[in-house]
Amino acid sequence: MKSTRRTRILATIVFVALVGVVLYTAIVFTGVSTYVMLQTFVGAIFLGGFYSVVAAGLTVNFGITRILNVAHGELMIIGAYVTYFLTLYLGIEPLFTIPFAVLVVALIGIPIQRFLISKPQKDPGGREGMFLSFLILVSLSLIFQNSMTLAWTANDRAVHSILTGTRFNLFGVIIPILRLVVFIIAVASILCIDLFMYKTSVGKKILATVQEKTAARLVGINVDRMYLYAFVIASAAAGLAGSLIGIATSFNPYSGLLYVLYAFAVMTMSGLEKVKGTIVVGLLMGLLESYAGLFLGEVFRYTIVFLVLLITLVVKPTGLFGKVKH
Amino acid sequence: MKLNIHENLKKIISTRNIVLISLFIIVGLLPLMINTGYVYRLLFFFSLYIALAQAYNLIAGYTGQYSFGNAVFFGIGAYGVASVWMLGTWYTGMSIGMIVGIAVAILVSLIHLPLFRLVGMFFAMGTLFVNEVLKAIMLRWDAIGGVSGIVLSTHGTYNLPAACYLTYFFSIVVIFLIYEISNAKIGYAFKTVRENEVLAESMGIHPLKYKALAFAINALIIAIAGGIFAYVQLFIEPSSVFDIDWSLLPCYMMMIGGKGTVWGPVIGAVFYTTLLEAVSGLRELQMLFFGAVVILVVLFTPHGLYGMFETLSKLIKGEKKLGEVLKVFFQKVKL
Repeated sequence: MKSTRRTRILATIVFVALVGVVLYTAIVFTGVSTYVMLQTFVGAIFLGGFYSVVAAGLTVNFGITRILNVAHGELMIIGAYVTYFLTLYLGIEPLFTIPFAVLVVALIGIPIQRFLISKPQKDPGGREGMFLSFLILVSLSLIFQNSMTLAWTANDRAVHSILTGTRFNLFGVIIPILRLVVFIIAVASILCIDLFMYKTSVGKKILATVQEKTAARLVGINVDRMYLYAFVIASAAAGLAGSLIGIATSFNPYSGLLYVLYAFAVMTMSGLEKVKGTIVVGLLMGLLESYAGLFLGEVFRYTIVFLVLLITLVVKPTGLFGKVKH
Repeated sequence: MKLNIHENLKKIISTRNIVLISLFIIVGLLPLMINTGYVYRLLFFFSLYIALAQAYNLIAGYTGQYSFGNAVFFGIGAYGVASVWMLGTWYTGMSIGMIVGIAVAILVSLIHLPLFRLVGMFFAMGTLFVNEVLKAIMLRWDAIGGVSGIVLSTHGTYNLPAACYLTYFFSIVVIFLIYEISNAKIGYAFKTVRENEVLAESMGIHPLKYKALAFAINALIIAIAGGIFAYVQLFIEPSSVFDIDWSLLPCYMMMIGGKGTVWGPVIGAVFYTTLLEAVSGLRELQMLFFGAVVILVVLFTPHGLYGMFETLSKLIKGEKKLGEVLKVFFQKVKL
């Protein structure tokens, strides 16, 4: 155990040093000012926060209970609409609508799990069930997208908060307060999910159920209930992520897909089971993306990210923090 | 010996084969009778989706490697035809360009070699990354169109029916190929790799080799499909031919139909296209209705549509009793 920890620390140091060297050379060769560098850093961190919080919900869904939730993005957007309408009609400050969004999406999650997912999940084959749930969820995401478009049109929506436009100046770098608050909420909620999954008894029961269903049932765990809890937690995380995205940026019924695609990458790279790992990987991806955009041009923004992720996967086939092969 | 030949003949001229061949001929003749561009296009998409779903079936259904990056081969096939076409005429495009596309696609499938040790989701994401990187390269490659894509000029030689029949014939060949593979030694090797890699290795089946082989055949089929697609559409751009839809739709169809079976993907592709056309009259409600029908189908046929047909045929033949089947059905479908 100790040796692996030491290698991990060593690897982190090497990685950070490598990034530092690359950045330094980039600064020297392109002549970008330190101010731009730092400003990009701030933007990148906030962007990475979004990726992390979306990926955290997906990790509970796929990494832990093996449901490839393609409809996660649409659940997120429902959360964003909850925030939007509460702000629009009741005039509540957007940041305070987050609990409502979480609640609504978690409640939507219950019938989805009960009527659509629970049957494939019970399939003794296991693998079979995962792909059946994939099919159902793809169809569900189609239904959600189109019903949202029908009900609320495909227009881009944005929420206006008291904090919108406020900022403070830190050593010449402008930090938007709203984004900072959103980022802090995102990271805090990921840590909460992590604590819940690994430290509380319900979380441990969920993990036990996923590891060995029959044994879990033998020691008196209500297996069906645990699957329901896991899905509801993931849905709640989706509602939270959607609400945050609604507050900090604009959204439409179709914008969930891009976030989910990215979050899949983040989830995979953090090793599927590690909720906490999504913070690190999400931030790294945000940084990578932003600096690639800064130094190599906007067009190469995503190319570099995908290339680096590809190389990382080849070098470490179980993601950055994963141990077990799946 | 005489008896043997007789039996072989009997095997070839079985009812099943006769029904299948006549079905193929009837479906092939339908567009000739109706003769509108719409019907030809429909036949084209039927055949294209059958080929793509069948290719996906080979890697996912038989070999157990789910990929999110199959679009890369589709795009390469399309670009192979389009870029050579741009230099010469449609004829060089369809002949030399197709070969170039196939060759490059197989080469790219070999790039996936280091990815084959990844498992499950990691492999799927890895293939997606390859696809995205190649898409970005194509977006920047201005010599072959770049972002704006390639418009193919036909000089009046465009022949939609011919292309449709080519695709139709091609899809039949693909079905036949998958059928042959599934019954051959190599097919059993694929299935062993799917079920248990360690076991496969212990029996002398090299998992990496068979995964690479399955992936190369998959690349070949998809590249040809992409080439024909470029001819039929006459306009291609990186963001449309390298789109993730070309990887996920075949997966979707294969699973609706039933994975790991020869006829499952065919049924799935036909079901998908027919349903989408059938609900197209509903306008805005189209995708809503489509999603609902697919959910119902998936809930009530846990082993795909093919599994349902199989059970039905067993019922008709009297191999299974109705009560037994219903019992299993209600056990599986517990709402």
